[in-house]
Amino acid sequence: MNCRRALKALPEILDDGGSDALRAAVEEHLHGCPACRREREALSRSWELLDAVRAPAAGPQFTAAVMTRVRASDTRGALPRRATAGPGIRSWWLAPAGAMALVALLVVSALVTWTHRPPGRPPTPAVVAALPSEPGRMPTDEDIIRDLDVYEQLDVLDNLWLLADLEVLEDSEVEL
Amino acid sequence: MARLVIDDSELMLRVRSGDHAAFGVLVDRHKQRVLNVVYRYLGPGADAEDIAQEVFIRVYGARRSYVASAKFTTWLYTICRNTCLKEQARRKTRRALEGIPMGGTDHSAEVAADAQTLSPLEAVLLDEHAIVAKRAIDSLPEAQRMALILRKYEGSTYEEIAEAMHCSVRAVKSLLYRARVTLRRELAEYLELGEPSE
Repeated sequence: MNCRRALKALPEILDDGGSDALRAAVEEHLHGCPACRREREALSRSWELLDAVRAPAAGPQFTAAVMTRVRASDTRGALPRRATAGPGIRSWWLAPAGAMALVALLVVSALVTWTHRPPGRPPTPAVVAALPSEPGRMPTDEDIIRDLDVYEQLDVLDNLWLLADLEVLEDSEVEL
Repeated sequence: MARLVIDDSELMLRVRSGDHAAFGVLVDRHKQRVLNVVYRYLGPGADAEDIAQEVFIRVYGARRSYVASAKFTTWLYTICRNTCLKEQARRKTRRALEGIPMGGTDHSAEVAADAQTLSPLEAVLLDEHAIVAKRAIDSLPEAQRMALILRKYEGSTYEEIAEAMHCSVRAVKSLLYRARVTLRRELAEYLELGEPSE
């Protein structure tokens, strides 16, 4: 048996002994292999360390507490929730109250959205882009293509005075 | 005069017929076993006893589905495992909602966090070895962890574990193999074992 097979067999042998033939083969290998012997020691020690995890003893009222809940369940016809849980969600008034609250919330949300809507057509991306106080809102390519005529008009407006000056200059040159 | 001991299956059949006293005997007989599994699976700082009680409430709720062919403890472990899984899922959800990161490898921080949430009794029970060992157990995937707990602490056979976990005996052996290898790796530094051989 080589190291690879011995290492593979070790957990099984440590867990339930494995078959006689397997155990004998592994023991023979371990006899002449210090590295695999160390590995067996490591597996054993790590397994034994788990003994340190101890659970506390059940409290003296454990059985009584369970039986109280069991009797209560038989009386009510349904198992109660854990003692640590809050009041039952199936209280008779809670379901309609919750529904009414939800409807009220929806109505208020709709009103707020309606009253705070921007007047008229929403601002075009060109206008939005011109606003300095809106970081993070950049016009998309689709916005730009859709409002291309607006952009062109804005360009014309930006150069309006220049165009006018140029026109005057050209006219004067013609006169000269 | 010898005292007659009624076996678990017989008691459970009585419970199914509405015998409360029989259920009390079963709870008394297995409460520590269930608490052990819950505590080792879910860890300290938790309401382990409350959850263990919940296991028995579920056992009682499922009494009509019990058939005597199943070993009672195997059936009990199945319910215990399902309850633990549900509780673990609930905790994960709560941690996610509270923005507490899950997992991580900083065990010292986790141990410190544990120390803050431990009751004095738990602090006595959990010495350094126990905390390190518990962390190693917690690092195992769910199936490996439950198989290990049932094998190591409850002394269950492969067949019983397979039945409780709804898998084959071969799968149980594989889970235990991987659990051992993972534990050896996780505890290598603490036990100064050196790196695992390839």
